[in-house]
Amino acid sequence: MTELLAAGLYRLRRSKFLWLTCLALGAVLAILILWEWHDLHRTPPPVADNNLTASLPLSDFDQVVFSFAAGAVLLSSAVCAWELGAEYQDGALRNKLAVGRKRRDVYLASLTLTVLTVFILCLAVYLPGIAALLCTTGSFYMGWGRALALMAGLLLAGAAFASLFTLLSFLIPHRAAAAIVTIGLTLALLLGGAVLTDRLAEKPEYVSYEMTVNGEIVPSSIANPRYIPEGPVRDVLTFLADFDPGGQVVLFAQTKTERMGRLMACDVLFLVLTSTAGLLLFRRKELR
Amino acid sequence: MTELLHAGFYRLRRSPLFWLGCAGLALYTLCAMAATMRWPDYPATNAMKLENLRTSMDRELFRFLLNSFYVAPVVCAAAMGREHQDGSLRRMLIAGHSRRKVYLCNLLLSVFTCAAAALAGFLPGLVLEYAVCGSITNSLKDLLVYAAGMYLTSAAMASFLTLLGMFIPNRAASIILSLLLSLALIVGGSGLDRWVHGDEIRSVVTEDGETVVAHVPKNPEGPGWDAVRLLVDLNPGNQAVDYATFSAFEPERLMACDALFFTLTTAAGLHLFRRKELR
Repeated sequence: MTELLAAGLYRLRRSKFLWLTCLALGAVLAILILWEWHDLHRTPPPVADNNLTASLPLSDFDQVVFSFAAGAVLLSSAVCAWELGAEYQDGALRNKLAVGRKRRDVYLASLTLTVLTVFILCLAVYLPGIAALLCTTGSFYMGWGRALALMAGLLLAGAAFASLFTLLSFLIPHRAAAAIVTIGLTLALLLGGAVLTDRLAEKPEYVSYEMTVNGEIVPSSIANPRYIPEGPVRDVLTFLADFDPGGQVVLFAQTKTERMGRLMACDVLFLVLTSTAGLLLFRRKELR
Repeated sequence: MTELLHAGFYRLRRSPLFWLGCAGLALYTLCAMAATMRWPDYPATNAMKLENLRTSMDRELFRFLLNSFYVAPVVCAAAMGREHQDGSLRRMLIAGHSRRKVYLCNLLLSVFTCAAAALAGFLPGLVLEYAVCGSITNSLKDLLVYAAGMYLTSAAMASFLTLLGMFIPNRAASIILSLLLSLALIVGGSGLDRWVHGDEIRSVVTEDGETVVAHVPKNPEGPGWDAVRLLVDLNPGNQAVDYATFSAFEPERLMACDALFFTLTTAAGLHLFRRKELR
């Protein structure tokens, strides 16, 4: 397996698509942070909603660093589909098996390289963003501990996605079809996770203001029809939202760190399940 | 060119991606509309509930446009990529068809694909709203103007996809690049739009000498910023976001930008395709 990994790393090092994507993502994020900083320090300063003094939303800068997480995951789906699809197209996969490599070793080597690719893309987003943040505000508003925990969570969610990309690319021999399915499924997981997370965050009631006969405005609580009450349905949806790595990416991009331990455990479970399924299915797959 | 179009439509009719994409957009609109039909406990009267429902359904009429920016690149890039890959494109030129006709034929097919996807997403929503509410909130004239803008935006997007599809011989690369650039046009477009057209809350001194808090444009007027605004408005992704969220306040201006974008990309595509080496 060492030779497989070495060959894969060599190909990865020479992948123009990967490095151009890293460069583009990092540059865009760094420019965005510097522009937001410049915008905030224009004179005269803008005023806040409730008073006439300007308040610096430093916490917003922290969120800008993590806001590109979904973009990094989506681009990594394209890069991984492209790189893994090349193995089928040029016959490298079949050649590896023909020279005696085991299917398990080939799959695990590709899985490791895909995880590495996703990590590289995520770091390409965070490192320039952190550098720009340090040049402007000097530190994370939320504190380094929480920031590092968020990064670890995002990297683990990225690893879960990488196992899904490997599963799809190994089962779909047609490169174009694999790219469509991988990117489409990644989008679906991200959007589905966002929708589920929003829905679960709905409050049971909201305040409505009504005008009485006397002309007074009286607040009253109205039941929120979009609220999902406690019960088995909510439990299932909560598990699905936590299990879906797209939902986690959306949560971390909003710098929410509640249930971090549970989310990381779900990522590990997702990775183990998809890798096991991939290994089992790839063993039976006929390669032409 | 008639034979080229005939062959192209035949292939499109048999493309499962095209039919799946249209069905998906129709289903998305119907689901989005159905989701608005859960009536809350307030307001008290049915007439007011119906009015609220009509407003909510109106907002979902054009929401599918954002998803069509995922469907159209896949269908168009897959079709044009296949022509490159199986040698059909080269054979068309060998058979005597001019490069201009081949390019324009693919452009027309892409425009048809994008327009069909837009129709598949729009019509079911409109029919459902009329069936449930009996009418729409906006006037018919406003709706027709928005629909025309939507089709022109789709045509502008089609010209961009044709430019990409005719130049990237690898089918997988064409699909990936078209999809990612479409997403970039939407996400980047909405961000740039907020930057250029956005406003902020500032303290302003009125004519009476009173200091009030007011919404003012973020960036000053002037020829420089006007040029930047024009470049941002040229982006069909930005326009799709405006139509999808019912916030296209100057649809005539956006339609003119679409026409300009279409002309520029088609001219560039024709000019570059004449020089492209086909292997």
